[in-house]
Amino acid sequence: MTRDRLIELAKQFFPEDEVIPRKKPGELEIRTTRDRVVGVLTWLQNEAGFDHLMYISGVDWLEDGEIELVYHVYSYDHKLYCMVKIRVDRDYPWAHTIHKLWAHAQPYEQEIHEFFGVYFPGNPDLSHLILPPEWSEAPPLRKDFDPLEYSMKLYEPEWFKSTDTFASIANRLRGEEAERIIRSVLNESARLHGDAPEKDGEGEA
Amino acid sequence: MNREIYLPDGYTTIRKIGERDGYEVYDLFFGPNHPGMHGNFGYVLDMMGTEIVRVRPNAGMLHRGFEKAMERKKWVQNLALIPRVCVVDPDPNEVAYCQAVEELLGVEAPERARYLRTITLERSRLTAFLMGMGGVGGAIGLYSATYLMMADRDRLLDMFEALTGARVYHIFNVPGGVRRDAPEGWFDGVLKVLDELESNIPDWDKLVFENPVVWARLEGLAPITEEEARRGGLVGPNLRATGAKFDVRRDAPYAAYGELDVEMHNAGDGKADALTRAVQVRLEYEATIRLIRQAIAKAKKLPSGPVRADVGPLHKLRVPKGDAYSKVESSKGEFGYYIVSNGGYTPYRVSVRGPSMPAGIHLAKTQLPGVKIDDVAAWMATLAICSPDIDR
Repeated sequence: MTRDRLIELAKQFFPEDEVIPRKKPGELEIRTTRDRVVGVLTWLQNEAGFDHLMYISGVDWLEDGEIELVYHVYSYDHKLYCMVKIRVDRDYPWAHTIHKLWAHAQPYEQEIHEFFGVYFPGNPDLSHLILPPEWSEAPPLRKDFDPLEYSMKLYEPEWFKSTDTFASIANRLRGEEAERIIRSVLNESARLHGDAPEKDGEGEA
Repeated sequence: MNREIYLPDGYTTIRKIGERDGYEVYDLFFGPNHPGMHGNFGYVLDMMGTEIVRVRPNAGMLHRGFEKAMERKKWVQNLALIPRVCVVDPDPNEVAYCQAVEELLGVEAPERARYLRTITLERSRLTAFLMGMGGVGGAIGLYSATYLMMADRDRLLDMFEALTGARVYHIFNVPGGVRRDAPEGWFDGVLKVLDELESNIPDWDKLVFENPVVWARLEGLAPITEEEARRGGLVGPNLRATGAKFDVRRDAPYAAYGELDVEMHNAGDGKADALTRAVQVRLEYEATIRLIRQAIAKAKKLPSGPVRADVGPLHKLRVPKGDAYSKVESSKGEFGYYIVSNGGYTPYRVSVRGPSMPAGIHLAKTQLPGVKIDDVAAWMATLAICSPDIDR
């Protein structure tokens, strides 16, 4: 089957969905909705010969308030690659599971649940695979999760006092509070080494 | 006796689960600190005697948050993170990322760069195969194989050092091509190393692949049919061992593979057990050496020219809006990068498809129950399960 023939068939079967050829030869894209995606993937697998599910990627579109799921499927026989995209609401994200179509979609969905917070009702195991079980923050691959902020919260500011390097990092990140920390470190070092602490606003003589 | 030990709250504790046929069922941590385990990964096995009843993958100990970190770093800074996604076979990651960026930028690597990429990719494959073949020996107690093959791998790393300045993480590819041309006499040096590797193959055959102990341990272990492998997401040598004739290098050629003759070998026909998968790697090892010779013969005839397409200053690189999926055939199979750009100085999203997840997580749950505890390491070694690309 060629790409043009597949696009023609897909348009016939799924008139409501966008079927777009991509720039590279042998690649196409189907934009569909949550309700129809299992139908599209079933058709691709059973009728069009797409027997290889490569991966399911999640993309968080913060400004649109949506999370995009991209199913990458490949046909070994026709050497065609198809990207099936759906978008789900960011506040109540859920999608149908496809582990009945491809059994190894189970860990992929588990991972997306873990990192984007998308629920897959019917998936047998949505426990944490990679994150610790007690993880209570936002799903980490969402755009509003800030790893720096999380680290600052996790490791107490006292911890940064231990060396100058960490104090200088804290300075960059936390403004006035860090300045206080640096000053205390400098004072401490002055006390130990017997130097006079630097005064504010004065250059070196 | 009911034992509860040492792990903090929320983690699984080692405990007696039940009793069956006079045996007690315990859960047992296989890894992350186990000689048969590759990297910081583990399975929690429910054991009845020496037989596995249930498997829970215990991943996450190698999670470094690369996908999130890449969203914060510039396009070119990410090149330092990417090879670390797969430790033993780093170059496919670089090439897949660079190809996706090139697709978005609309540039193409020059011919010389494509050949250099091919040669580094194939040499990276050889290093990974040597580790894999040695790993099969290591998993069943034949440690000589591991040590001896590591020596061969070191010869290849020397040639990497001569080309890129680094031994393990080369960071040789950049969007648009490669960092530098091969130094004078480098191709001949590689050919010399290949001769040495080839002369060692009969020894490896005697040590591992014709060894009756290896046969006794691997024959009949965990068979997979071709249909299961195709539908189950298995890729690369694991898929080809079942008789399937699929290879990204032939089906969707990238770099210079379109101009080379990539051999297809199948160790099994319709079905593959652990022994077939080990033999498959051995067949592909020899084919890879021949492929490098072929590529070098062609690369030597190329006229000198640029090795990098002009994409402007790399630290100010901005990639046009869009998305691209690029895949390469690594030593373990298809490695894919899905990259989304919103036109900024950093990627909007980088999603990595590693080859180990379907086998390491899903297949482990379905295939390991019923297997004896001493075969788990051999099972992992022959399926080439690599934990860094599961955790990322």
